[in-house]
Amino acid sequence: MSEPLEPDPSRERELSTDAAEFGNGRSDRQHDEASELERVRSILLGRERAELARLEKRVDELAPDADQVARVLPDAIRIESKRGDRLARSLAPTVEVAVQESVRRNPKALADAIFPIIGPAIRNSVEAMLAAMVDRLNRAVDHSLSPRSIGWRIEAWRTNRSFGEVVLLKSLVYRVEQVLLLRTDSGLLVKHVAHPAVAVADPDLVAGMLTAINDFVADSFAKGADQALEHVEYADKTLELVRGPRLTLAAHVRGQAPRELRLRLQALLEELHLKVAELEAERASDETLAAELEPALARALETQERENAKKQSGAMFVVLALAGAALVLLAVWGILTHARRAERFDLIANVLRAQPGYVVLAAERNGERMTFEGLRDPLAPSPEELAQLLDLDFSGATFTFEPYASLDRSLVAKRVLQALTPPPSVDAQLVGDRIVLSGQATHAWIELANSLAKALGAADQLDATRLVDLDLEALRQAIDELPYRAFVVSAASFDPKAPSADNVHGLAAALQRVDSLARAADRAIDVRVVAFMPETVGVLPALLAKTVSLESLLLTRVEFVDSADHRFVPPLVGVRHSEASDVHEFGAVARFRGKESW
Amino acid sequence: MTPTRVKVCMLGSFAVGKTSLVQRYVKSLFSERYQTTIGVQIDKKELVIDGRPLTIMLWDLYGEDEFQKLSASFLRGAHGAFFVADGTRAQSVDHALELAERFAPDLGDGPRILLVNKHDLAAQWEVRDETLARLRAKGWLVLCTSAKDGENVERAFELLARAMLERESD
Ligand SMILES: Nc1nc2c(ncn2[C@@H]2O[C@H](COP(=O)(O)OP(=O)(O)OP(=O)(O)O)[C@@H](O)[C@H]2O)c(=O)[nH]1
Ligand SMILES: [Mg+2]
Repeated sequence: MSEPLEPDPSRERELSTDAAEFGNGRSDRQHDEASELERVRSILLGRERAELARLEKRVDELAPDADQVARVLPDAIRIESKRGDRLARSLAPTVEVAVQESVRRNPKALADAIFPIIGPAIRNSVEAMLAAMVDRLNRAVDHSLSPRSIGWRIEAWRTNRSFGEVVLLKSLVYRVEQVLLLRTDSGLLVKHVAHPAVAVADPDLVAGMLTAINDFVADSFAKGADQALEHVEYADKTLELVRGPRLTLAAHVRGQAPRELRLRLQALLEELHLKVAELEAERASDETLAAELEPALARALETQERENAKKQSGAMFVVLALAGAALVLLAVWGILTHARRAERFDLIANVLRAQPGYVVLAAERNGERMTFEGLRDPLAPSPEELAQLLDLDFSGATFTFEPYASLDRSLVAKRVLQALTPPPSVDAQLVGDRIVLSGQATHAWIELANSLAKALGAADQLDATRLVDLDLEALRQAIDELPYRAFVVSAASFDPKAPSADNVHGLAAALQRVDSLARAADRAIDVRVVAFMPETVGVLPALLAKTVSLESLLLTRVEFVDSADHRFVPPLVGVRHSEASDVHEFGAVARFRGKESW
Repeated sequence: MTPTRVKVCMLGSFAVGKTSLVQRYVKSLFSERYQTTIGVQIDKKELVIDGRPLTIMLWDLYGEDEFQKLSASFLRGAHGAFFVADGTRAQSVDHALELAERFAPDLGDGPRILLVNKHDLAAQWEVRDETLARLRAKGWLVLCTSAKDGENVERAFELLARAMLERESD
C-alpha cells in the first residue's frame, strides 16, 4: 500500500517540466504563437501527447496529499497492528526520542500526564509486597497458634486493623526488663540486673527454677544437653535463654523480641564467659564476680531500652513468667505422665482382659481419664480389689461393668460354693476349680449339692467323696441292728396284745425305722423274711403289713424253709437294696445273725 | 574462693520427709498432710556462717519410685546433698544408700549426710542402732531427725553448709 504513495522521482521531474511549459504564455500573441507551436507539436508528437495526457491524469489521482494520508492513517495503523508488532518496533525508537525530548523540554507536562497513573501503580506494588510479608507472618503465627496470636487477632478485630499490621506493630516493640546471669550446671545465680521500674521476683528462685525446667526439657525431649530451652513465652512476654558451657543468660523481654536481640545476647554471653574465666583464674570471690559483671549486664538493659522508651511495669511479667515457667514444667510433667499413663492404660486393659469373669467391651483413654466398659461376673474381684491384689494403681480409671455370669470353671465353682451354704458340719474348700466337700451332711443336703452343681454346669467339679452321708450311715446301722429273732406265730392264734406278739411288734418297729431311714437316704430296700413254719408263710408279711405301713420296704418274699428234718435253720432276716448292684453296700443278702436259741 | 551461693539436693524415697525437712528448715513449718513433690521444688535459705553470708539453694527432688527414676541432671553443679530415709521404713535406708551410690559420680566429692527422719515416731522405729553404727563406721555422717519436732534439722543443714564451705575454700 505504501508504494503508490511514493511517487517515482524521475517521472515526476518529467511531468513538472511539461506542466511548466504548458502553464506559461498568457498573451494573445503568445497564444497565437502557442497555438502555432501546438499544432507543430501535435504534428510532431501526436501519439506521445495523448499518452502524456493520460499519465498526467493518473498522476493527479495518485499524488499523496496530507489530507488523504490523514484520512487513511488511523485505519492503516489499526490494520498493520493487527498483523504483528512490526509497526511498534519501527515506531519505538522515535517514541523514545520523542518522550526524552518532551521531558527535557518540559518535564511537568509528562508528570502531570502520568500522575493519575503513577500513584495507584506504586501503591499496588507496595501493597503486593506487604501482603506477601503479612502473609508470611500470618502463616508463621497461624502455625504457632499461641495465646499471643489469638490476642493479636482480637486486637486487630477490635481496632479494625489488619492482623498483619498488628503483628508488625507488636513485633517491633520490645524492652528487656531483666537480665539474669546464672551458672549453667547448678542454676545458681551469678548476677541479676533489672530495669529500675520493674518489680522483681526473687532472682535466685527464678534462676533455679529455670535451670530445673531446662534440665527437665533436656532430659525428657532433647537428644543432648546442648539442646535446651531457648524461649519461654507467656502472653506477650518472652524469656530468652542463651546458654553457654558455663553460664546462661536469661533475658525477660516485654513485647516481641527480634531475632537480632538473641544475637546481641549471644555476643554478650561470650564476652561474659571470657570475663568470668579471667576472674575465676584470679580466684575472685562471688561478690567480686558479680560486681565486675554488672556493667556489662546493665548494658543489655540500656541498649534495648533506647529502642523502646515506653515504660511499663514488669512486676506482673515476672509473676507471669514464673507462672508460665511453672506451666511449662507442668506440661512437661503432663507429657511424661501421659506416657506413663498410656503404659498404665495398656497394663490395666491387659489385666482386665486376662482376668476371668471380665469381658472388656470398650477401653478408652482420653488424657487423664481412662474408661473401661464391659461385663463383670460379680464373683470376680472388683477393679478396686484387683488393684490391691496386684498392687497396681487404677486411679483415674472409671469402670462401668454390667453383671454377667461367667462360665469360667473357677468362677462356676465359686458360684456353686456360694449357693451351697454348707451346714457347719460340712467343710467346703475350693481346690483349683474343684469344690471339695468333707465332713458330714444329711443325704438331702448332699443331693441338693449334687443337683445344684449339675444345674450350674459343674457336676464334674463337685467332689463329695470325702463327705459322710449321715442318713446312709444311719440306715446301715439300722439294718445292722435289725432285731433278729426267731419266733413262732400262728395266724389263727395271733393276738397282737399277747406278749408273744412282741416279737412281731419289735420286728415291725425295726423295719419301720429302716424304712424311714431308707426314705431319707433315698434308698429302696428289699427285705426278705424267712419263716420256717409252713403256716407262717404268707402270714408274717400280712401281719407286718397290718402293724406298720412300710412304703419303701418291699417285703417281696417270704421263703418257706422246711424244718421237717429238724435241721437247724438259721432264721434269716435279710435286707437288700432294690438294685442288685448296691447289694454289697449292705452286706450279704442273707446274713447270719449268729446262732440264737429258740 | 568462698562461694556465696551453694546448691544442695534432697534425695530419697517418696514420703520420707524431704519436703517436710526443707519446710521445717526454711519456714519453720510442719504439716501432717502428705503432698507428693512433682518435679523439683526450689527453696532458698540465707544464713551466716562465721560472719560470712551464704545462700543455700535447696533442690527438693521428687521421691523416687518404680515409675519415676531420679535423673542425674538435677544434681549437676550440686555442692552437697542430703540422703533422706524414713526411720519407720527400714527399706528406705537401703534405698537412700543405693541412691548415694548411684549418684556418687554426679556429686563428686561434695559432702553428703544421711538423715534418718521421723525420729519422733519412736514406737514404729524400724531402723536398728547397729545398722546406723555400721554406716557411721563406714564413714557416713548419720543424723536422726524429725521434721515434726525439729530435732537435728537446723544442725544437719549447718553441718552440711560448713562441710561445703570447707571443701570449696581449699
Ligand atoms: N511424724 C513425722 N511425720 C513426718 C516427718 N517428716 C515428714 N512426715 C510426714 O511424712 C509424709 C511425707 O512427707 P513429705 O515431706 O511430703 O515427704 P517427701 O519425701 O517430700 O515425699 P515425696 O515428695 O513424695 O518424695 C507427710 O505426711 C509428712 O507429714 C517427721 O519427722 N515425723
Ligand atoms: Mg516432697
